[in-house]
Amino acid sequence: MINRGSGFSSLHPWLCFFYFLALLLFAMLFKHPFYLASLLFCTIIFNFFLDRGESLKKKAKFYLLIAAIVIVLNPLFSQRGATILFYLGHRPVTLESMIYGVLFALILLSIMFVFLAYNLVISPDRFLYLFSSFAPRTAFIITVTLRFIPLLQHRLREIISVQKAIGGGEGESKKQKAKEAMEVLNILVTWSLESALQKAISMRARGYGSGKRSSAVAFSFDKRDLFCMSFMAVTGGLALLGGFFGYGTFTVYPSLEAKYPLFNWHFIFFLLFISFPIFMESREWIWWRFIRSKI
Amino acid sequence: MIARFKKIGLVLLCLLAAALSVVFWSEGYYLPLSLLLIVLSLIFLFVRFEKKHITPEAVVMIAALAGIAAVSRLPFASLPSVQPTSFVVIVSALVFGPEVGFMVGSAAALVSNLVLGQGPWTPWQMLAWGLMGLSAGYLKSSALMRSRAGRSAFGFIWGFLFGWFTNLSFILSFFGSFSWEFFLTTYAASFYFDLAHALSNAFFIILFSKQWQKILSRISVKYKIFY
Repeated sequence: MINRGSGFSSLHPWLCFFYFLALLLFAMLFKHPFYLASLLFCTIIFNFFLDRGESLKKKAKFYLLIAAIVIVLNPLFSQRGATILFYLGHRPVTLESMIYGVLFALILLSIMFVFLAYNLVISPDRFLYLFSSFAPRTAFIITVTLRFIPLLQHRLREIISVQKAIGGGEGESKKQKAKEAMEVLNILVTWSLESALQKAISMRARGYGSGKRSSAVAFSFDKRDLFCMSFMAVTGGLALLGGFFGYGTFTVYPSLEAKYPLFNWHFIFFLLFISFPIFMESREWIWWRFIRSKI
Repeated sequence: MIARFKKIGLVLLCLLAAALSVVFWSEGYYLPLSLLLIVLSLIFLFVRFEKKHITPEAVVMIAALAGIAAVSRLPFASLPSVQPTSFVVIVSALVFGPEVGFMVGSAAALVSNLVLGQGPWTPWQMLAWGLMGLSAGYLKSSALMRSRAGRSAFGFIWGFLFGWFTNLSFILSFFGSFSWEFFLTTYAASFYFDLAHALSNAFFIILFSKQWQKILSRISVKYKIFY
């Protein structure tokens, strides 16, 4: 029996993949403060359900820095907008350009958080399963490269500690330091290529590429997947359709203006779609509490 | 039969993409439009790679080179433009040709961003590093790439091209507030980083390209990677 994980991650990989694709599209499509804020909020909660926000906390500083830069820079560069708040030197700073900066920071943050959740849900074996049918080599290369990252980092540390032990790593000038770093890289490349090619020979011996690629993990599309797919297709489809008719947009320039009032059918469908993984995860969470209290 | 399905699928994909781009363009969604076009061009280069006959040795070696290129970028994360990734991409393309160069560059960009943080810039970097490898591979037997000065000039120029190309992702994201002044300010602000990237490329190539080409061609002969 294959462990398919729990909650949202236990769905068929194609469903998860298209869900994330739709989230990314929505993040770029709906430039509306409430839409983006709720999307950001949902992805943060989703991240907390997936790994208690571990990977989110690790990168939060970097992401918030980028968002802050965007918020500060936009009103400085852009003089569009009708409402002038104050003058910086002789440059007008407008309310609209400030709002636009905030909107764009929200878009960036949502995209980055969606990617974090994506990395947690679409694990390398799922990635290989998804893409090995039409791009077997490319998918395989990316999967193997993913595995090489921690391996090579480990080797890099090992080489550096050996170099230090024999008196290396004491370059003074920048040029000397760069040279020493490249020495380390030279060792890494000869070592890793040799061992990688040993692996390739063993792959050849076991018949890699001799037929259609088979997957070690078999995912089947069951009834629950079908149910979830219909739910996601209806809510997501309506949200997308509404997007093309101007719902969920918010005009910033020349002056702030929303085309529709906030609480309309479109916003509700959008909310249902983006909070879908939270439904699934919290259902499992409640279910778990429920059986535990019985025992 | 399957090949035919794939062809029909590709044509449908193109039509869908064309329809989407018209919608994006008319509605002013320039960021998704640019990402769509970049992903499409990446797909075509990947298809090209899939069609080539390649041994399992080559597949694993490409992954190892991409891994090295990606890892070599991580310790330099605090200096945004100084990293040997471009050097690794260029040298692998010089030894193994355009397809390998493209794969090493784009895979390295994708995978290293998993550690550094994915964002709308990832496809842009994938295409920029991929094209760096592709162009180095096509020029590999030209007089320019045979001389050390020519190679380092190539790396120097690509240092700037890479920066100018990836700047566009930043500018397109801000498109709602586009002005030529903003455009020029961005390029002026990135000049120092682009220069650092160009100089470090030239530096690595001058000192190490011969040695690395030797290492890689030796491996290629020893394990019969291409025949």
